[in-house]
Formats: sequence, C-alpha cells, structure tokens
Amino acid sequence: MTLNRRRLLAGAAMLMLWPGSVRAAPPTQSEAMLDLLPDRAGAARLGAQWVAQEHTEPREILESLQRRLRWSADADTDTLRHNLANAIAEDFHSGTVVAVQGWQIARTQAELCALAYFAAAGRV
Amino acid sequence: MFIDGRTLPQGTVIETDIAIIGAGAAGITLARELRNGGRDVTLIESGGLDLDADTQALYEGQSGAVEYPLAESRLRYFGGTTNHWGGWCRPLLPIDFAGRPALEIPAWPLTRTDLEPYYRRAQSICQLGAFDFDDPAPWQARMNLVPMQLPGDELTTRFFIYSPPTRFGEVYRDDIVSAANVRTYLNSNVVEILPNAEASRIERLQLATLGGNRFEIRPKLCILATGGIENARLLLASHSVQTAGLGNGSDLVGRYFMEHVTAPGDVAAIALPDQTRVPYYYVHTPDVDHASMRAVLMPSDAYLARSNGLGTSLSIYEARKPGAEPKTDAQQLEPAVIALLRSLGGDAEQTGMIYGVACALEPVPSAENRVTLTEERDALGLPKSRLTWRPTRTERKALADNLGAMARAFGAWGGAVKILLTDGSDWADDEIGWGNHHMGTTRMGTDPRQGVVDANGRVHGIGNLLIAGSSVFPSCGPVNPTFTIVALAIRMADHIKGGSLG
Repeated sequence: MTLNRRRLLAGAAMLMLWPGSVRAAPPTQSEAMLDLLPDRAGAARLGAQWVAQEHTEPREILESLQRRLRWSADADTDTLRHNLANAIAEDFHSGTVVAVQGWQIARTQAELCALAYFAAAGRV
Repeated sequence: MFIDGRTLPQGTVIETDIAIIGAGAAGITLARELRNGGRDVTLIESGGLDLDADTQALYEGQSGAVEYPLAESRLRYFGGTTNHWGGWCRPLLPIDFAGRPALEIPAWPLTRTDLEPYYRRAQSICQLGAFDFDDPAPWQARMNLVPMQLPGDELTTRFFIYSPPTRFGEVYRDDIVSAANVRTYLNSNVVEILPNAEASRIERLQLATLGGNRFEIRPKLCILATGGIENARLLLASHSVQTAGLGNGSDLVGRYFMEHVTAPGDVAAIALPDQTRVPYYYVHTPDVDHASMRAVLMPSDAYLARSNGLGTSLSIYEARKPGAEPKTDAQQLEPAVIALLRSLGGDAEQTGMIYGVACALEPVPSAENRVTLTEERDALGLPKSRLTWRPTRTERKALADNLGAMARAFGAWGGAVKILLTDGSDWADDEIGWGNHHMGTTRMGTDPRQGVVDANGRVHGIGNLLIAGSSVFPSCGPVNPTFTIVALAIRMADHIKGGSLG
C-alpha cells in the first residue's frame, strides 16, 4: 500500500477525533511547538532535568501542551506564541510553577522543554 | 567643650541637668537638639575621637548561638557606629508600627503618623535630600525613568536614600563642641547606673577610665544611648538596687534581640532576556538632586497581610551575561534559561542578563534571642555580654515565600528567578548573614509587662531614666535602623524641651 495525500488527511482527521492518540500525532504538531524554542538543545537540557524529577512521559506532555497552547492544526507560529505567553502568565498567576535546579519556570515552559528532550531522544 | 575623663581628679563629682550616655547617632542627635537650650547637658563617650583598640575591646563578648562579631559590628568612639555605617535610610512603614498578632510581632505604641514629622527632620540630619521613599513619581520626574511594571500585586518598588554616609562624630563635632551648655566627657565609661533605694529615680552614674580613674555624674535626667546590645548590658549590670537589673522587673531587658537576616551572598538570581528591562536605579545608586537613591523590591502590604509574611528588602545587583565564564554546573543552564525566555519573542539584538538578588529580612521578635551577662569581665570590671541569636524557622519560611512571590512576578513578566535558598525548614549556619543592626532589647510598650520603656522612651517605673536608640524598637521591618533612631531621638529631645519628660 502506498501512502498518498488522501490517506494522510484521513489519518489526521481520525486523530482529531481521538486526541488521546497523540503518540501517533503528525510530526507537524510537535514540530510547530518546538519551533517556539530558539534553542532546542538548551531546552532539551532543561527538559532532561525536569523529566528526571517528574518521571513524565511524551504522551502526557503532548496532551498537556495541546491543551495549554490551545493547539489547532491551523494555528500559526504567532498564534502559538501568543497562546504560550498567555499560558505562562496563567501558570505564574495560579502558582503552577516548577523548579529546575532552582529555576522557577512555568509548567508550560517545563513541558516545552520536556518535549524538546523527548524529541531529541527520538521519542516523539 | 570636650573633656578627657582621664584628666579629671579621682573622685570628681559632676552635677548636670541631663546626662546622655553614648555619643552615637542617638546621643549626638539628642545633644545637638538640646544645645544652646536652658539646661546643662553632659554627653558621655567611652572612646575618644578615634578608634582605640583597648576601648574597642570593651565590646568583646560571647556568642550563645550564631557566632556573632560583637566587637566588630559596632564602634566605640565619638560618633559611635555611624563611623562605619553604610548610610541606607528609609522610614519604617505604617504596617511596621501596626503589629501583626499572628506572627507575634507587637504593635508600637506609636504610629508612622506620630513619627512622620521627626522622620522629616531626620532627613536633613542624615543629609538625605528629598523625602521620597515610596512614590516613584518624583524619581520618575527627576530621572525620566519608569520603575519595573511587574505584574500582580505581590511586590512593590520602594526606595532607600543613601546618607553620604553622615559620620555624626565628624559632621556634628563642631556643633557639640561649640554648644555653651554641652560638655562632652571622652574616654569615660559608665560602669553602673545607680538609682535611689526605691529604684524610682536615677541618682548617680559611676564612671571609670581604662587607666583606673573613677568619678561620678549626678544627673537630674539620664538618657541611655549606647546601642542595642550595650543598653541592655548596662541595665543588667546595674543591679545594686534591683538585683535583676535596672528596669528589668518583667524580665524583658536583653530579650527580643532583633537582627536583619541578610544571608551572605545572593538569595536568588533573575534571568531576563533583555538587558534593558531593569532600570539603572535598581542596580546602581544614582545621584539625583544631591541625593543618592536605590530602588528595591519589597512584598506589598496587601501581600504581607494575606500571606502572614515578613517584610523583606530585595536588592538587585547587576551580575553578568548568562553563561559568561560559568563557574558551576548549575550556571551551565543559564544560557538555556535565557533562550527559553526568548520563546516569547523579544528583541534578538539585546543580550540576556543574569542579576543577583540580596535580601534583608524582617525578624520575628523572640524572647530566646537575647543579651545576657557572662561571668567573664572586661577591663573595667563590667560583666561581658553574651548574645544568643539565631534566626527562626518562621523567618526562613517567610523568605522562601517572598522569593516565590518574586519568581511569580518576574516569571509573568517574561523573566525567570532562580531561588538559591536551599530546601529545608532550618537555617544552615552558612546561610545566615546579618546587618549589624542591634534592636529590641529594651522594647517599647505601654504595659510594663510588655515593654521596658513607654512610648516616650521612659523606663517603666524609673521617672528620670530614658532610653534612646534601636533597643526600644518593638519591631523593625526590613529596613536599616539609623534613620528611625535619629527620628526617635529628635522626638525625645522635643519632649524634653517641652518639659514632658522631666
């Protein structure tokens, strides 16, 4: 069976109906999120520290980031960045803050770093 | 007029209207305010006009908890500790006078409003220029700079104004020397304050010099102004009539010693993606209209009220660019943190910056933090003091909470804060620093069971004994004490001149 555009679109539509299946999310989703990071390698270092503390898994991270960044397939980078800023502000307002080697960062920031770590490890 | 106590004939008896023991910020201010008045004033100073090692050694004592530099943290010659103070000035806030029962911080029997006119007069004595400590607008007008607009209501910007610093013994020496009604006895140590048999009035002061000369001063009114440790020491050592020490009927003299915990080094670091975001006057002390000013961050009154927190002065220091020669593994993460902050965009041309944060923390008064006497004696035969001081868990938690508030404010503003205070509820010895601020050992209170002196500084039960200086502070906020010491001294002088204090 050959992969064609029609099959890809059908697969993407199924994923939209079943958001829990993020492990199979199209690469554009995590890539779009990771594009927000100007230094993926540095973020991955932070993410490695946090993942070691939290024992979190890629699937949880992606699900959470979808929610926090109000992910949609048609969201462009500017929209995502705007949503990221809102999510960070909300995290600090609500005290949803995590510590990575003493650095107090928003949970959303920590999850982005974790995503960078998992991506670097080939796990998303 | 200066008189060297070493030159007096042995056994000299001096009559005076007002004796002021100690020529530091409080004593010199009192003498200046009372100069050229109708009453004879005798100012008594242990030291001379310069530091003398043997005299300074009279401050040596023992530490009962934290190893505290009793001899190095104060100076014993004309001008007192103003001979080496840093000059940081700002008044206490209204909330500091109000007291916070949940934290067992007592209210002052005074309000900020009561002290306001005296703070304004202290302004010129401390050579401070403008009286703008809390409103950024005047500084903004002078400097064309706006304070950091941190989100939320947990932190607020306040201002310290720097005294040059005023060396009281130099700047006001001529005023004291030339005052016709003021005689200053140098190298003269009060070794006991002697009351009448009922201990209701002070009758005599016994004095000694290091060379063995002894003489006596008989004042109508006596003001003790020798500092937060020595005031208690002298009262406790004056036990010929009241065996527990003068004014110590409620076992309060020496107790409730307070210090500002400063923590050595930084307690936090701030990462910002843009080096222009912190205005100059948070990291330097610009001179503006002959005043040198420094902006700091403090928890807001509203935040303190709802969090049961303690006041903290958070000073920002320009540190370095991120990752510039990182010295520790932890610093290796700094460039990554800065880059993470840039995920929100910003000016890519700007260099990120790491700032250091130092603190001064309001203490919780504790009866266990206290000055007592030792069996060991100094060169004059006076028992040495023992200072038992250790900051409490409450203070450590409050500092951690306030650093958390700072992290939330800077995080929501596009920065990140690294808290350097280690986890845990107790202070590690190497985390404890101090401001050399000695306060609280003869605390003020309207009820003799709660305070050694009343609202006017008069010792409960002893009509002609007053105490000046930071030992009367029932609480002290997070700010340096000298400015309040001077304001209280001016107020006391006014009351003396008005006749309400004898």
